[in-house]
Formats: sequence, structure tokens, C-alpha cells
Amino acid sequence: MNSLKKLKMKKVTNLLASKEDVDNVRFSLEQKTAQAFIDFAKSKQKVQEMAHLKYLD
Amino acid sequence: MPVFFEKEQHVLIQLDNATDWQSFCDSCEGYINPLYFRRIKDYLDQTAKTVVIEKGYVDADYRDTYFNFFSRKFAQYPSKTIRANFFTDRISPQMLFKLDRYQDAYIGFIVLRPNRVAPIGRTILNPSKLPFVSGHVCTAESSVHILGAELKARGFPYMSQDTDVTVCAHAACWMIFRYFSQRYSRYAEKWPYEVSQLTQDVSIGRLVPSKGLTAFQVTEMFANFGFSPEMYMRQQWGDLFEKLLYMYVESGLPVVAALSGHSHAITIIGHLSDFSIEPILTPASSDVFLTGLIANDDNFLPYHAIRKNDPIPPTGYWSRFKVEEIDTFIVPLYEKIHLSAEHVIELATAILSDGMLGLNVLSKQLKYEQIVTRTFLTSSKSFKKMRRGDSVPFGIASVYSEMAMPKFIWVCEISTPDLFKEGMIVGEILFDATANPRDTMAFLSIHYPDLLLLNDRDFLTNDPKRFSVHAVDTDEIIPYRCYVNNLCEV
Repeated sequence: MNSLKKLKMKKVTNLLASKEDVDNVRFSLEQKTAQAFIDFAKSKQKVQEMAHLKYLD
Repeated sequence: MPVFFEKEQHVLIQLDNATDWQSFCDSCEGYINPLYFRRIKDYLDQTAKTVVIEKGYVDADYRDTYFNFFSRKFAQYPSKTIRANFFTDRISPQMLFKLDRYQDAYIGFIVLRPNRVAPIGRTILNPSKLPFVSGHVCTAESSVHILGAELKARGFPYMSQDTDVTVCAHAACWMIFRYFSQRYSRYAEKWPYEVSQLTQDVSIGRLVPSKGLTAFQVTEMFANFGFSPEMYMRQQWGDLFEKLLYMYVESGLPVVAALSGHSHAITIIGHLSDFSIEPILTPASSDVFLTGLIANDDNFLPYHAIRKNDPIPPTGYWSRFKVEEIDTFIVPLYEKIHLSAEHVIELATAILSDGMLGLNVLSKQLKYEQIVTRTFLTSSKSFKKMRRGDSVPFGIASVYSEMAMPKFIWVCEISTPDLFKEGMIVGEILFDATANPRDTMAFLSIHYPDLLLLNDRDFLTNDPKRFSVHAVDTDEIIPYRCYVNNLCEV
């Protein structure tokens, strides 16, 4: 990106620099969100099942 | 006697007192009943100083219901309507043909339908001209031509149900459809009878005359209009329900909200927030400042405030409903928004508190425990446009301008309680709205006060080259303006 050359910040080369680091980031984020995403899927299913019961006039 | 051109098609009335208002009512005889007259008068009494009445006005929305429904009745119904245009200035009759000079005084218009029951048709009133309305509201602009003069009406479209073709849920959907078709050219205009035919589900009875709709039918209508809707119910989402509702409204997406206890549907079009509230705990999200929502309830006039907590404040235009009575809402998402609000909350929290990507690890300036976040959806086009003209520090605005982004992005702005009160932020995380919810690498960039991390979304693997990290060694946090484009501040 051309704009990165104008960025008044220094490129950091030693941070998240190995495949293991990125593996760990992905694993950590997956762990933190896994249970919530399972709960969300269940909630959405329940909402679909109940949609016809909400009568609005 | 400030009624001019009484016998003409265009009547101008200077609204100085109750007699003048009665003249307005008399001029609209047959098109308005005492209940709705009182409602309009009470609403605009302190604001409107002139009304210009257009008799014989051909309103496309009423015409649609007339040809498809009212013309088939035994009794005669006129095919034309009356449009009443309200101004904050006292306009002299000599200026009737030069109304475009009164753009700044133009409040908007109300169409009166001769349907014998519920006369208020298509209405656009500018919330900025109404002293009892405050908060942040979705608005769109519409052209109005009166005697050759062009005026702009800005506001959120409103109409009441006619109780024949349309009931509250139809009116709520129509308001959203009209908002989108006025604001975005990709959405076609839909008229009320067409709206009523957007559902094919007749399992609870015929579509017209309508006795009501289910939330399922509302969702079906949204989908047939061209949205990719999502439905949320309080019972399933618990504490998260109001936060999600707020996030969508903050994103400039009006929603149909159901109050099943009242068998009623309204359109949520904005929010009321008190930024002087001190968050009890940080990290916090900006919904802690929320004091109410702004709704178009077809049983009243536009911009009804719905309180979060008792009591009802002494001033303002307040509904008897409370936020807690909303038990379902349906949000009209664009088809390419695959990541829903709940996923973004989780992903943003996971990143900000992460042991490798979190604030406490990557920023020397700011701790996770100090922050307030505001999360919303916006188009990347609008985001780039605003950020380009902004003072995002260290040249990051240019990076955003050049970054490849999907059509819509989720933005999680990072601030502190003190800075947030001033509308300032210190960083943001951008998410690809087309990402799969289970793709935890859904973020496009992470910007903390002293660090910028870019994530190349095209990488399939965990190759470290997907990240580009830039940092600055600074002792100073440089705040900049929060994003404002989704809603209009009133």
C-alpha cells in the first residue's frame, strides 16, 4: 500500500512474526467466542420457531 | 382574517390563534376528523405559523390503495387527497408563488386521505424544526413541489394505518421501505397496497382487509422488498436484546419493533442518549448512555420518545410505552451483511481482551479496563469519506482510504468515558461484514492509540504475512472525532 509509506509509524517486525504466533491468536479468539456462538445459533433457531406467534395489528 | 385564497386550490392560512387552526380544519372538511385535527394542532401549535393547503393533491400512496381497494367499495371515495405544508414563518399571501424562499422555515407536510377513518397519510416532518424532539434520528430527504417552487422535506417518513389495507405492522414496514427508497437508489418505492401483498402467507386469513400480521409475515415482507432480515426476540436474547437493538439503530438501520403485550408494531428510528452519565463499570459499551428510543408509532404523530426508565420527563413527546415492552424486533439488513451484531460484540470483546491482540498487550497508552466502545455498521464508502477529511493521527486516514474493504463494515470505536462525552475516540477495530461469524480473523484492522495492525483478509492460512503491524513510541494519546453519518443529531 502506497499510503503505508506515508504512515508516521514504524513497521514492527518482531510482533506476530511466526506462524505459531498467528496459530495462537486464532486459537485464543476461537476459544473466547466458541460458546457464545453456539448459544447464538440456538437463540436464532428458537426465534424462527416462535415468529408466527407474534401477532401485530 | 388570515385565510387567503379560500376558494382556490391552494389556501394559505397564517396560524396565529385557535380560530386560524379551526379555519385549517374547515378547509380540510371531509378529509380530517376532530380526533386527528386535535392531534395535528396539539403537535404543531407552538411551531407552525403558516400552513399552505394543496387541495386535489394526487398522492401516489393513497392512489395505490384507492385503485386497489377503496374504489371497489359501494360508497364513493375521492381519488385525490389534501396536502398540508407547514412553515415556522408567518408567510404573506404575496409570497405564495415563491415558497422556495422559505426552505429554512419548512417543517414538512402531512397528506390527508379521504378514507373516512384514519386520514393521516404520507407525512414527512423535519425533526430539527420540532422543539419537543431531541436525540439521534435516521432521516432522508424528499423533494416537494408547491406551485412550481421546489422545497426539500427532511425527516423520517410516516403514515398512520388506514385499518383496511394497512394495519400498524404494514405502516411500520412502509415507513422503513420509504426511508430506504428515498435515501438509497437501489431500493424501489413501494406503495401501501403493494406492501400488503409482499407476504403470501394467508395461514391466518386474507391479506386485505387486514386484521394484522405476524412477525413471521413482517420478516417475509422485508425479504420480498430486497432486504436480508434478521429477527430478535427478548425471550431468547435476554440482556443482550436491548444492546443489539441499540447497535442496529446506531448503525442507521430503522427496525420494526413488536410490543406483543399490546399486539402493536412500531418503527424504531433513533435513540436518546445522555452522555453525562458516568459508567459504573469499564470496559463499557455506549448503550450505557441510552435513556430512550425514538419511534414512529402510527397511532400518534412522528418522533415519539420511548423511555427506558420511569418517570416520564415533564417535557418532550413521550410514548406511554417503555423500552422493556419491546419484545421482538426485525432489522432490515443488506444482503451482503453476513456478520450480525451479536457476533461483532463477541469478536470485538475477544480481541480487546486477548492475550496477544488485546489492548493491555499491544498498547502502552490505554488499558482495556478504562475503555468505552461504540459498535455500529456503516458503508466503507461513507467511512472512508469521513475519515479522509478527519484528523486521524499518524496518517492512518490515508491507510483507511487505500485499504480494500467490503461494501459494509462493522466499526468498534474505542474511547474513554471522558473523551466519549466530547464525541472523541482514540482508535477503532474494523470488521469485514461479509465474514462468516465463525471466522475469528474477520477483522480488517486494529487501531490502538499507539499501534496499527492490518489483517489481509485474502490469506487462507496462518501465514504471519497476513499481518502488517506499525507502532509509534508516544506518551500522548491523540483523540479524534467519532464517526457521525448514520444518524442526524436533533
